[in-house]
Amino acid sequence: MKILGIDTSSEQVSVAVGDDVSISASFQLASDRRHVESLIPAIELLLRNIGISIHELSAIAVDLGPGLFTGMRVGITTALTLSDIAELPLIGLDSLQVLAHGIERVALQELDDAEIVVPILDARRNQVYWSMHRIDHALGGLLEEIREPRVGEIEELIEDLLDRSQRSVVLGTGAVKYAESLVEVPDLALLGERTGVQNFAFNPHLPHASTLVSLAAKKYAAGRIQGDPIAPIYLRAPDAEIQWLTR
Amino acid sequence: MHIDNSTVVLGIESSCDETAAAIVMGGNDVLSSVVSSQIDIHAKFGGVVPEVASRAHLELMQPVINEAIQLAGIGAERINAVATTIGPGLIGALLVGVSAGKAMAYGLDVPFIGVNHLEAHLYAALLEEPHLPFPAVVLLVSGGNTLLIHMTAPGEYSLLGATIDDAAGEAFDKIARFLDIGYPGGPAIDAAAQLGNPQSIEFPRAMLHDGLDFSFSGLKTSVINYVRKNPDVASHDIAASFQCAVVDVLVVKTLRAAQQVGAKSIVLGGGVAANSLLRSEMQRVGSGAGFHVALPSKAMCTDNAAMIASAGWYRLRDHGPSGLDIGAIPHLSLTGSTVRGNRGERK
Ligand SMILES: [Zn+2]
Repeated sequence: MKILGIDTSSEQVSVAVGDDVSISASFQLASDRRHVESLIPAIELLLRNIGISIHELSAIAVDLGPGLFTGMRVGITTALTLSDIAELPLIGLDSLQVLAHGIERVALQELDDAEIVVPILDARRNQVYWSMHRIDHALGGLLEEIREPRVGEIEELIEDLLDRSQRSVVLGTGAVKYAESLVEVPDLALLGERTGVQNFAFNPHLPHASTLVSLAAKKYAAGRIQGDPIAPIYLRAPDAEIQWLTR
Repeated sequence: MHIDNSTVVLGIESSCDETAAAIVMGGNDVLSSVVSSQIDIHAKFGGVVPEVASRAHLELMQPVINEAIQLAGIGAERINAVATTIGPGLIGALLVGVSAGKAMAYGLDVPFIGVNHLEAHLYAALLEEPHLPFPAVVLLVSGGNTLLIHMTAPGEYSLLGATIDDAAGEAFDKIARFLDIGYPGGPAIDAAAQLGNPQSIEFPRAMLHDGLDFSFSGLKTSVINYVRKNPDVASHDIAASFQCAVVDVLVVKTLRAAQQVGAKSIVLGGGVAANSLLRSEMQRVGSGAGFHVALPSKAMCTDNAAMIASAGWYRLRDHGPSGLDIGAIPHLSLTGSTVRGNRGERK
């Protein structure tokens, strides 16, 4: 099994190839939003490095967002087109799930005594995207989604966390940006706060294609990829649409 | 790579509110041309909303490309190159087309060609009239542009004049919205004008007597002021008089340009070139002065991907492919692209 993962939902462009056991190759570019310039050359370089063509892949996985709208669309359009030409199945996953699961791949003190993982991405305009995942310690730290992706003010998230009063680990660009506001939540730790983030091969606060590939590979191996809807997860209507509806 | 009459190019266009794909062989043999318009989606907003357009492009792109391939009666493996609009246009909209175009080119292992949308409009007339007499003067009029171009051969052109403020199509849109007579503005004014008297109001013809540049913002203001002072005048008469003022200026300046450069042909292009009065007046005045007047079909005047594929074929033949690291360029100018191609002369 060889799955190509494409993640352009953040400022970063990341690509990876691998299966449910390991990642053969991956890399990321802090692309400063030059997604369309970097993505195809990145895929080209990645596949050439491991010596395969797109026709030898088993499937393509893509991050559907929520995130940077223009970036998401570059990745999703590219994945749709490549999967069409090479007749490959396409697996879509949300960015918060990808971000959260990045944590599974490293042993961290923070995780040992936490109950939930909360990925938070900056949505600008004082808003964040977030979801919530329960840590199954019996199964060695596997994550199970207990709250679907949503968008809202940081205050809404804080309320959500206070209501729950569970020991939590937060991560993501939104968690970093609003770290000072999140401090008011008891039993909450920002990922890497205690251990540092130097153990990571990539920025753990951004969704990464290698995590996307691992997750997609598990779905692929389990045969759970038929009829996956491949559409961007915006969570927010265009401004003009909102103004038109509320006029 | 050898480029000849059997070279098949897939064209992709997504610069504004049309998602389009086409298959063109040998530069001007159109095997298929599919245009999916988002007019209905944007109508309620009274104009193209960039984020709404970008979302629609993503949904429509794959089906439109596949339909173009199917209608052409070929398999995707027959495609020899992929040409895609890289600008000018709305950045979010352009990015969808460029992503799809590059992925097609990479997936099929064929050259990718980034195409200037404005340059492509110049090839639209050639698609229907491959033996167009050169040199030609092209009047390119759309929602975003009002340009007079001297074209000496395919791919060889220079700019003669441009608007110094609003584009002609922009003026049509604004006046249609102001008169509240429908969307999109061009066809709405055209239809309303059919019922009105173009001589009823004498609106100013800005810069009619000097140079080859245009200005439409003064006309727009005087229409708005006139309506505020005379609220009872029928909107049909206002539409007809306004349209007549715009067309007068466009025709006079195009004729002047054609005479100045010693052109053989006058060519219309761009969305406003679908305007019925502009077409009939250009034909009447241009032919009267001894010029061959080329009026591409309305489908070829408005945005489509056949012209992108055609421009791509010429660009590939004359300049080779683009790199896969090329980006979208929302403010790409016509002259900017000719300078890079090193064949046009810049004035
Ligand atoms: Zn156009």
